[in-house]
Amino acid sequence: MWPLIRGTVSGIVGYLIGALLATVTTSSTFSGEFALVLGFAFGLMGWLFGIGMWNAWGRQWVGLPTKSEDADGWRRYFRFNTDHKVIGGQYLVTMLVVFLLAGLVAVAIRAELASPGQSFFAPDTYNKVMSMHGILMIAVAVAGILGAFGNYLVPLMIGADDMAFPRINALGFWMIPPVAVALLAAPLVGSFNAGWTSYPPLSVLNADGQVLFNVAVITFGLSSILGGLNIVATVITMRAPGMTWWKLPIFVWAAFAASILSLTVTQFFAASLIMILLDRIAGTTWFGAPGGGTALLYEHVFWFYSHPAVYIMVLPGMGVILEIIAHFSRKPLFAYKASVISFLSIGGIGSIVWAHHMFTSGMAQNLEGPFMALTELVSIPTGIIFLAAIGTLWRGKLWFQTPLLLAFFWIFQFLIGGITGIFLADFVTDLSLHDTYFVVAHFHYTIVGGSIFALMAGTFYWFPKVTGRMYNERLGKIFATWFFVFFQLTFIPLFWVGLNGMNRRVGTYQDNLGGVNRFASVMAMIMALGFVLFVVNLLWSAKRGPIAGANPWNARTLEWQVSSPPPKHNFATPPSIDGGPYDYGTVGAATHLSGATEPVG
Amino acid sequence: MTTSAELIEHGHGPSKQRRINQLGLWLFFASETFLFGAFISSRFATTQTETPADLNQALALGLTIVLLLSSISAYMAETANAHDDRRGFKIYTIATILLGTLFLGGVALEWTEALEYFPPGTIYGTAFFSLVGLHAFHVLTGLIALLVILFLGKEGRFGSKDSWPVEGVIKYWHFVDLAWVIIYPTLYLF
Amino acid sequence: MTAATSTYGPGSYRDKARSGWITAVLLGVLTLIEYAVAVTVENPLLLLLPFVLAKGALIMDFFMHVRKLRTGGDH
Ligand code: HEM
Ligand SMILES: [Cu+2]
Repeated sequence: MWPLIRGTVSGIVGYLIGALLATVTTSSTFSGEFALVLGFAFGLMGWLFGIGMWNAWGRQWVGLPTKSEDADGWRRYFRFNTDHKVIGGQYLVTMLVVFLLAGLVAVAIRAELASPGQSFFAPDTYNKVMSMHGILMIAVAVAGILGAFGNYLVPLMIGADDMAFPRINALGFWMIPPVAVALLAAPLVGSFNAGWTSYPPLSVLNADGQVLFNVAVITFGLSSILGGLNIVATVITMRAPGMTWWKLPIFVWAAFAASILSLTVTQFFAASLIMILLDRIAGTTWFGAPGGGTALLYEHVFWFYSHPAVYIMVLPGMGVILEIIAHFSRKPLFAYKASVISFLSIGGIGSIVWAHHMFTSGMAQNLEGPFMALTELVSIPTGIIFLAAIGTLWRGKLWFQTPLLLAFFWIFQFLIGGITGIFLADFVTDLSLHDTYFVVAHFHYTIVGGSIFALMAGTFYWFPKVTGRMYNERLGKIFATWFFVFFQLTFIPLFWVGLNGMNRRVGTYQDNLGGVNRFASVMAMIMALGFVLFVVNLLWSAKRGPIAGANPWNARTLEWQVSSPPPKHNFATPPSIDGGPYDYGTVGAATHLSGATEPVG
Repeated sequence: MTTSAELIEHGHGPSKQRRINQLGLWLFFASETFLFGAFISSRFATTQTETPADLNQALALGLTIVLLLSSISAYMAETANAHDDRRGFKIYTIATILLGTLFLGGVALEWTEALEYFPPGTIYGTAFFSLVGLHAFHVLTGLIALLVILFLGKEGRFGSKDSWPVEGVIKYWHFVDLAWVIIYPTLYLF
Repeated sequence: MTAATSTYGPGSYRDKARSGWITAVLLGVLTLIEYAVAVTVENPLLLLLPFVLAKGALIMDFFMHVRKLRTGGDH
């Protein structure tokens, strides 16, 4: 616990120094906006150095030897530990906690929306609550799979002993607690009410809480940039002998493609939020019309990140699902190379479609056609991913365990998300759909359906690897089905209310939509209740579940060839790889890991 | 030292670690390019290539030359270090730091003028202060890194046996110069 | 890391120093021409782009050794 205390204390001291500095050098008050920014920056540095960056890293910048603060057991998780498996675990638990928290906020939103009028929240409060839900969930979707499974599995799957930059990896994770603190502390200074998208002019004019939102999200972006950098460098340089590019497990490819995106485009989110800070604090006029700026600029810069960001969320999800489908069908992955090319081209084309979020914004009209066409082009590589999933399942020996069940649900939901996307990408139909609940339902189908369900599926699939124990299969299946059924019952009605003109981001709506909304609200609350099953299953099984053994799924990829949980440095000797990861049932196939026995399938 | 510590963590040879570090640094540059790119494209999106008549062109050209000089001195510091020329390393690193500081001083001078003629509240001033500020912040971090290697290098660290920390810092310095190669015409010339 | 500590010959200290200074002089000349073009021509954007590209390429290649990224990076 000592590093945590040290980090907290030096974080607070850093905050006070920064805020004080701002107060004496400028006209900002101690709780003014500039003091918040400088306080956060100094506080962040203080926290990072205190938690262990100084001992593990900073000391060598002044010529001192670094000090290792290694520990065993649960203590590893509360310090600047550089083991990629520890960091993956830290991400998984943190993100699941944030997910549950943001889920509770969602229940509050649905409570308000259960009836047409205003019942619990004043209009402004409603917007603050909905903004908090949005940004927390976006963070989970961006860093959930990539942070947890990307860190835990990429080195194992490619036969490496760790990530390319273990300390940068730890740094990236420990940036997250200050982000959470700043977001959750924002209500102390008026909260933020401009939604996760934070469009100006509101985000330039609203309460000081917006400033905390901006510095927090910029920091979160930095963490995701560093994470992406690490995964890209790891896949390029740390592959074991024989692990050629075309032998990489499909999840590694998916994480690689998503990491290239987060390495690059995330800077645009940072830029857009910095511009807001400059407009608020330094008196610039990027988005202020009187000085010659334009709010439209924000939408361009913001969506240049935030559309590709949906692929940062969903590409790793696709990887997890294809991985699970291949292992539980006991068949080689269908269209492996085409899927890899699809991942990369989804990332590429996905980076030039951003203005489909702006059809009603007043942007240049001659851009609408091209952006519609480019957006619809993405359906081709996306379709190939579906093809790979279905082609692998086709006449496979299906083994219906919880992960495969969730993978089936994933296919159904992502299909609905994709199809409804087409109507939004068509600027003619989008004119009436934009900013309605149709959009809300669309992105919940894609993000919850495509990313969160994959996070759940991956959590079950790799649970025995991480903990060494098996989860409860029956409870797992009940939870999966529960989540699936009530998810449909919540969000299918939302398409309908959207088509009937219910606007997003307001707490009140037309009287005639009350019944359907009440239904959706009740279903959402039952869905939320289902997570008790999830949490109980995992917590109980981690302690009491049956011992799983090294390879309970008889899977061929490398992470299953080491003990559960894996030893500290993963492989006693660097593995050497002969066969492909998915050569199930192929007569005469070399095993993936030379020397390992071919699992019966 | 970075190299030795990372070595212990990974247990592979120094030349592989060097490759990894090098790749990581270039990936970081790629990422930073997007940050600069966001601001540069926003400058064009709001004001196209328009420049106010009161720009101090002579000062800007002078700053550009100063930064260029700091580049060659940085290059010489790196080369000296790789050839175990301790004295050369020290002299050229100090020269680089001085030139970098001179650059920041020039920017400060320019800003006092700019505040009068095209303050941040004008749209050109917005682009000007944001971009020059972003770049100056990078110069500042580069200076801190240079100070660190100067300080550590005094004790005879680095040299050809452990040259990566020096190379990394100097590459970063060149990257900051590279950014200016684009920012300079973007704000003053186009 | 290699035995490039010799003072003379290809790849020597002196050689590298010379190529550095030549690069710097080239960059300086390019900058001055760039400036001259900019102050004489109206709307010089297209004329200036080649200068930007050339300067960028010189810095990346001679100062930042971008090519060593592929060969592994030893001197
Ligand atoms: C399959 C092809 C897809 C198409 C054609 C598509 C199209 C669109 C369009 C045109 C919009 C803007 C709607 C509007 O505001 O009027 C939109 C919104 C959105 N989409 Fe998609 N989408 C697709 C897939 C995805 C995926 C995979 C994700 C996430 C994993 C996603 C997440 C979102 C989000 C978060 C928004 C709303 C952003 C906001 O305004 O807050 N979409 N989609
Ligand atoms: Cu989009």
